[in-house]
Amino acid sequence: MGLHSAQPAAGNRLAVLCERGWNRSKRILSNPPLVLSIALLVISIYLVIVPLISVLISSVTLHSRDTLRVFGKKVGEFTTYYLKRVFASDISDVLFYEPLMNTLIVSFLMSVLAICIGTILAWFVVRTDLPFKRFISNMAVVPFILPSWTLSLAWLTIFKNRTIGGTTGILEYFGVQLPDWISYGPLPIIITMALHYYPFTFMLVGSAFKGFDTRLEEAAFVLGGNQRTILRRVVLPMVSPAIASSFILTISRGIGSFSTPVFLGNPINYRVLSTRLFASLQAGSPGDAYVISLVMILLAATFIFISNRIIGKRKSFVTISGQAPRAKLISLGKWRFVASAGILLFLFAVIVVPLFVLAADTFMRVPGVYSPSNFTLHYWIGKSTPGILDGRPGILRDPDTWKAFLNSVKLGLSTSVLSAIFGILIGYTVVNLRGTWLSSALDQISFLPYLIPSIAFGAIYLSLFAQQRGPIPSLYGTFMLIILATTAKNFPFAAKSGISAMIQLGHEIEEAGIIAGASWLTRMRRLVLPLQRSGLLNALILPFISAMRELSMVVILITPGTQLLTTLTFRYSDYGFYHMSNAVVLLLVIVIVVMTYIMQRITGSELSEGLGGN
Amino acid sequence: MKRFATLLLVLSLILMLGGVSFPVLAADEDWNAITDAAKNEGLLIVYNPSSRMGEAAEGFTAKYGIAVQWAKMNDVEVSDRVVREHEAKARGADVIVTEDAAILMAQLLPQGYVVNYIPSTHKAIIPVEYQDPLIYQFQPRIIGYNTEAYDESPIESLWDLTTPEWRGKVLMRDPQFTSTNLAWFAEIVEATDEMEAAYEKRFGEPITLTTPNAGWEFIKRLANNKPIMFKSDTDVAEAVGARGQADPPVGLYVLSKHRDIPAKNLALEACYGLEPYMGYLYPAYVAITANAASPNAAKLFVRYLLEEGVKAWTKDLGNFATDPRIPTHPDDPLGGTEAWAKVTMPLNAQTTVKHYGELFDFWMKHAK
Repeated sequence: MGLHSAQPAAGNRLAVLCERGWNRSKRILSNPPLVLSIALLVISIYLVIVPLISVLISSVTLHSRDTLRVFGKKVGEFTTYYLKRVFASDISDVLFYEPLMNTLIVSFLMSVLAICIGTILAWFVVRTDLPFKRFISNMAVVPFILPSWTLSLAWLTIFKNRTIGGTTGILEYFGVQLPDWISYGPLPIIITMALHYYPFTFMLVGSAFKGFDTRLEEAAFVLGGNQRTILRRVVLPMVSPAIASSFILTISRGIGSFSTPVFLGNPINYRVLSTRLFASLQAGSPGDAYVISLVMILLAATFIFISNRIIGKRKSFVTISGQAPRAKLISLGKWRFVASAGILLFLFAVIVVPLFVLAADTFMRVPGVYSPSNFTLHYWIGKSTPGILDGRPGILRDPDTWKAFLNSVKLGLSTSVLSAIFGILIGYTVVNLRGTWLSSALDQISFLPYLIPSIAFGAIYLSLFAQQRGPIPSLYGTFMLIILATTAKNFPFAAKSGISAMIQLGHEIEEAGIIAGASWLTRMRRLVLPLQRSGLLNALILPFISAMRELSMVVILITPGTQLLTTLTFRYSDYGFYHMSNAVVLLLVIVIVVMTYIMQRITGSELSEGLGGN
Repeated sequence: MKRFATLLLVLSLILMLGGVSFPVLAADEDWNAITDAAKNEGLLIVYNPSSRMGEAAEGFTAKYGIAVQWAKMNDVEVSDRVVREHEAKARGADVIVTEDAAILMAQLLPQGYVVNYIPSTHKAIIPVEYQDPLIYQFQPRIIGYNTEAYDESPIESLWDLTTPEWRGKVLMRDPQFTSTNLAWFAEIVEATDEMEAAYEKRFGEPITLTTPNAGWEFIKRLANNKPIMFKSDTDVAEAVGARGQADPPVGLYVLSKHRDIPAKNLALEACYGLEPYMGYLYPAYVAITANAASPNAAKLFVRYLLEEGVKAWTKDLGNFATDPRIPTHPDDPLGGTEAWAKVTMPLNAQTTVKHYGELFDFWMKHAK
């Protein structure tokens, strides 16, 4: 894509550069966007391209553990052992083909369900005279803010059966015998993931609904179409691009999703690619894991490619609508309150009930005994008691919790600040140098992490930074590594919002600054950054939330010294300490909700972009 | 031909492992100097698979005033982290405890990631066969049943676990992530005669093989019989021993879980008399990392672990210190390690190394 077309004489440039030597470098130095873009390019190549190459290499070189399996080869030698194992061996079915099928089935069905929920909600909120709209639209995005496995843990608390031992869920306690397919596996994974991801559709399709010209509908009405025909022939075709991009966005997230399948699939050995990858790492077969990472990257890339083909426009996260005339709302008549009650009930079931169930569980001394005498605060504030959960104190008393808490906040803040800075700088350079290969290279590279599923991204960073390479020291076990990985994974969103903010800003203002004789630094400080302030603050919220609840990527990078709230939850549930795990999740939810609220207050914006605002 | 070459390699590997002794640090040690140096080193980091390490760590800190940061992680994680930290020259573990003999013997020790260390105080005490590498305790992992549903063990032979009656009713930790379970399979593969004899005794006819020998056959049939994979021994013991079950499963778990029987009101007993063996006996190894940032504190800790730390385990049933001065628990049903070693299969590091890779894939393939 026109990487070189802008400057056809790329090969000669070096010669030209040498020839003009001094002049040229002076010009480069006096052109801050150029200097900046080269710096950004180096950074993004290092954080994005190099890791990709390294995973390729890791999948065809022998890892140290496997000297026990592949005799006669040295560590680091080239080998096709892993490729053969994953694609064409006795265990390929278990290692690859079954997880692949499961991944495709689960993400497809989950996306369909999420889109139905999101579209229906968006239609009610935007297109009808539903009561309590504003409240509903704010609540509808909450499931997405919560860590995705909140619902999985809640599901287990309610539906867990006896198969995997330990405490059973509430239903079994009341004598309901549940088959495995309700308690674990594809069905609960599809449902809980759809309930987590439907807000994508809700927001995208919602703004499409908001943006389109209702005069078309009116015309159809005048021509004698009834409501159903109008919906089918006019409304749906109009929002179908938004539905299509929601679908792609949801399914590509689904393919990489880790935490839900790990909680709900692992108990019965139902594995998707991400959990198989993790299992391979856990079982000490990193080679297999890297081959699976490659497949996951290819799979996600394919979906994005298809979506580019279909939708024709890449990265259409948000449709900024034109000034359509204020839509005439569809009157639901006497059904208004019924619809509203139904939706509120749904939101109650997917937000309040799971959180309540998790909370209740943390107050039970013996899990699964639902009587008042069983009430305890031990798991929150209890002192260490031998015999209960390995003698761990309640989470609020446990220094580990507070360390993890601080780490999580630290990660959230540093990632969001770094992403925002990166986004603004990328936006500035890409827009300023538009048409040059530098600009498009930056644009493309910063988008690449979007194609890489988080768990694969984590695995890649682990392989890349485990050792010292050249001047870059090993970052293994450092908090820096976790910040770097999380920030790099955020590049696409940061760049996207930075670029669109800069496009909206336009050139004229900076040109005015140039005419007035302001230096580049002054222009940045006095014009560009202040004007971008609201966008900047806005760009802080999403990375903060996503960093706070990030699990799938960091689970691989975390060491005992760099524990986060999310990985702590994961560890506790791995030990079967569901009380602790639930309590930490609740703590995390509280932190996320409070921080989101504060940030929204500061920036005066809302995640639902005022979809229901009247 | 290829098979022959592999065999040769395996054999030479075994010879190497059997013949080569790993370097042992220092002969005579000045414990006052070590203690002083240890106190100056500050923090000690320990990776290990058991949560009891917390007690040992607390005791150590109380005695010497040296802070211990300990983390519970599985064997793969321990070895992965040690290797990475070593390559990264990062501050990581000083002391590791692992149950994964294969990785310790074939990777960590020979490739110089960790060093075998026996404190001078214990050289004459710990039996020589447990010194290279150093083992500080043994634990039996056994098959148990529910005593509320059954008056006596409902199974008489390991081969019962492969019958339709027990389909989906055998609980164990996943061998993919539990090195000791895989190591047990390696022993079973080697115990062809016993497995064959047990088969004939149970079914009254000789076994028909679809795999190289009766050991492999057992593993294949067990895997095909839908055993249920659990995350922890605690969960297995609870699921087997919980009261009020109409049709309870049997399970493989560490004997020490029997200490929870009164507190959790479990109906749990080991399947004594199981043919040919009722489980296995596995060692816990302790070693110092080659790049330990607190080498003296590490030495001091190993000594403490052997002397007193191990009591965090041995104060309960089902843990046996290699130091003969530390007594077996008075309630021990058999009276000591030797007795357990007769009814269970003691794990042998060389056997594990020999079959590790093949068994891992074999199990994955059949346990679908």
